[in-house]
Amino acid sequence: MLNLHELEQRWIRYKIKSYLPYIAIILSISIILLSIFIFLQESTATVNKNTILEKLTIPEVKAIVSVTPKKPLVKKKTVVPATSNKELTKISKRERSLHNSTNKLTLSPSLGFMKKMQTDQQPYYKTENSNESNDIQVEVPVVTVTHKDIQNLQHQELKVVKKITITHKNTHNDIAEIISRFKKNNNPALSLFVAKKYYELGDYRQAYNYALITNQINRDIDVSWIIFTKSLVKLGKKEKAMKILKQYINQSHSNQAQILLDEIISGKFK
Amino acid sequence: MKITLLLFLTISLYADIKQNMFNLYQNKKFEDVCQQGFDNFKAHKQDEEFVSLYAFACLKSDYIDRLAVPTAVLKFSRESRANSAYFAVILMQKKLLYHALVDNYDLSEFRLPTTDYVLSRVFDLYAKLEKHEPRAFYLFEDPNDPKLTYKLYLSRDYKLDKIVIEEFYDTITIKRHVYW
Repeated sequence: MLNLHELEQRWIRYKIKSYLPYIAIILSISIILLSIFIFLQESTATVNKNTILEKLTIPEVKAIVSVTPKKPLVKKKTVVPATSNKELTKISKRERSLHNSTNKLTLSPSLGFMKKMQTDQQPYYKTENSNESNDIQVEVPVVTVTHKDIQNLQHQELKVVKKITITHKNTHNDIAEIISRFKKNNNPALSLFVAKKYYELGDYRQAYNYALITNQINRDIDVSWIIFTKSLVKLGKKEKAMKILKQYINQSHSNQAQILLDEIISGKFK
Repeated sequence: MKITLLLFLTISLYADIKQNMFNLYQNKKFEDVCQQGFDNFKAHKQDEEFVSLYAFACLKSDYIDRLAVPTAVLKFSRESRANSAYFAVILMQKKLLYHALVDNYDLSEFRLPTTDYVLSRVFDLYAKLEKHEPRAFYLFEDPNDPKLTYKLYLSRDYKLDKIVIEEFYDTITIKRHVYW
């Protein structure tokens, strides 16, 4: 007996296969047609744009022609449009340059390199400070160890310990000693040193006080004014610091003060 | 060992001169900085920071002619180029003003850039004058500050004439600049 169901399926497959080339041809033709259609549309769009541009430029041409006396309009319509805009811009540029020529160009010096040099400058007290911070952490164990068994410790270690403690004592003794010396002779260099030290230690109130004293003794020390205003900023009195700096710059034309003021204004120095 | 020691010494000396100059500059000893820069220029002419510092110090101590070399040397960074143009304008204005004062050369036709430097301010004021007969001195009032006046004249020397600019604030002499 014949298997009809299977035969039918085979026939359907055969039919589909026979139609496949037609489908492929139709699809490819439609794709080609579509691409041609798109291409044509684009070209028509560019043509339209050109015509719009022509329409737009014509009034400008008329305007120019109306300014220039008694010249025929007919022939210029085709030639002028492209150049007319350029001419107009040229004219405006010339006018601008004429206006600018009355206001002189001022060149100003660029002092950024000084700022860089200032930042590159080795801070005089910072190394001591860093030692100090280490001292505070190291000091307690060091003392106990030296008291317990000094003989067991190596000589090199002892030397290191001694060095650290000496620097620590120096920083504190320095200030006390210099303050006492300052009280005796009222030398502004000493009060400035104390102000600097306090500023480095982060005691801005004391730094402010000693910078103020220095300024009262000698008004012409740049560094003192700078520490004074820096301390003010650190104490949260930014406006007051800026006001003082401006007054000082007006009086002394100090570059250093100007740099600091710029830094405060820009927020670089907080 | 010896070579490394020598190298270390030269490096430290190199840094020392520049740092010393910067410290002097901050203490407003511009003439000293200019002189030190002049003496050590050959060894440091590649360092634009050094050259700029030297040039600004010379500018502030009125040694304008010394700006010629820094103007030519400064070119590698944007900042250096700006400073170079700044110095070039001042140097040119000095030369033109000298030519005008000594030879009665007319400057009214020039339209040059200007700077905030005192010589430029005086140059601009002088250039505004029409062609005129040479005068013994010129008195100009600062357009931004009426209390500030400039006196410009030539100091006649048996060797060389020098430009003198005196700055007055409320009839009190503030500064005296001499250029030649």
